[in-house]
Amino acid sequence: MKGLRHPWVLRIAAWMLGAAFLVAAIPKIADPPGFAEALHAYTLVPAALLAPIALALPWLEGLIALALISGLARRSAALLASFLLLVFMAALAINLWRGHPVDCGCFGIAVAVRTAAERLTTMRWDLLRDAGLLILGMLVLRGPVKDLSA
Amino acid sequence: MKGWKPLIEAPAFLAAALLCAWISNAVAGPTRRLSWRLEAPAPVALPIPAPAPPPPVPDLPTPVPESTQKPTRRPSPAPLKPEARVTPDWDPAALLTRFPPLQGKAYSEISGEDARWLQLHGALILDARRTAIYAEGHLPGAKCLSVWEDGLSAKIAALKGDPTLPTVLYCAGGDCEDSHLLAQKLWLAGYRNLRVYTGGYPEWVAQGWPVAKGTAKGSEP
Repeated sequence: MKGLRHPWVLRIAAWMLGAAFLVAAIPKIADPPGFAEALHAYTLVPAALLAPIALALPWLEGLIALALISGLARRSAALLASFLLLVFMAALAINLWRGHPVDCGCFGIAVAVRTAAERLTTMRWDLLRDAGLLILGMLVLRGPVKDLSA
Repeated sequence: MKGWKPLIEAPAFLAAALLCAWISNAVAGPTRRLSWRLEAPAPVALPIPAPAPPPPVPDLPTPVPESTQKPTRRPSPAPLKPEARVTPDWDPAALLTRFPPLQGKAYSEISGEDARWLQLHGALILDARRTAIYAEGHLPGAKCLSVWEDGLSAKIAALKGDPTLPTVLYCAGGDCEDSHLLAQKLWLAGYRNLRVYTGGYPEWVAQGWPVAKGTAKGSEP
């Protein structure tokens, strides 16, 4: 287990998490109305908060990604990333529990029309992917503070 | 002290994200801009959003149905041919006879056959999908009023349609709710004859009915 705290393991985990957040952020930054539509489909966000979240969340993901990759404020970025991942997982899990299929909206805006069964299956995989990313986030968070610089 | 850093840095991340979002939204083009206070998705108190009412039933096989609405389902109508004329005939009397203003409900859902009939008789048709998707193909004569893009209220105010004449709304079919959201918005703007074509553009294309492409005509009301 000590190997998991090796500085290079921490850095690679931070870079991987940062890369995932960066890839997720870019298409949403490019198309806030599309992300707002995806968020609306979750039926979890109050109407008044829909637009502010659709506009700011992708940028927050992007800034977290840059911090994780660069090493600047990496611990705080990992903390925020882990918190966001928990929120995303809860949103997916609630809709899975409801049997309400949604397009994740995680890595861009879905264009292809898919059946409800296909979307529910994809949601399970999305949940698993977020759990994997959360493990990376926890790994970075549990590393010694001195090893979290770039 | 280092353990306390996230308490300062996390709000800084949030503030920076809000600032970036504000700047990027301010410089975004009209189809990529999002109003900070969204107009469409807010829940509004409407008269009972009606499930699909049975379409009016012509008793006789006349070319233009003129019967009043009856609570019976129409026996499967003859499908309209794809090669049927594209240019609609403006016929407000026929529109009102077959689709009178709705009473006690904000909108009703219609079939593809009804949507096609309304399109052929010059009804106002509104596409609730995104502008980019609209440009790829839409119902002939449809105007683009995406509920997710900025400026929806201004576009509705600029509409020159008669609020008592039937207005067809559609989006991507399936569980797409955009046309219903647009119907709510239009009802609040005074439109009283809103017909949501639930099959939407995919069904229209599947029927082989004519489509139009681009945004040169119809993108702006």
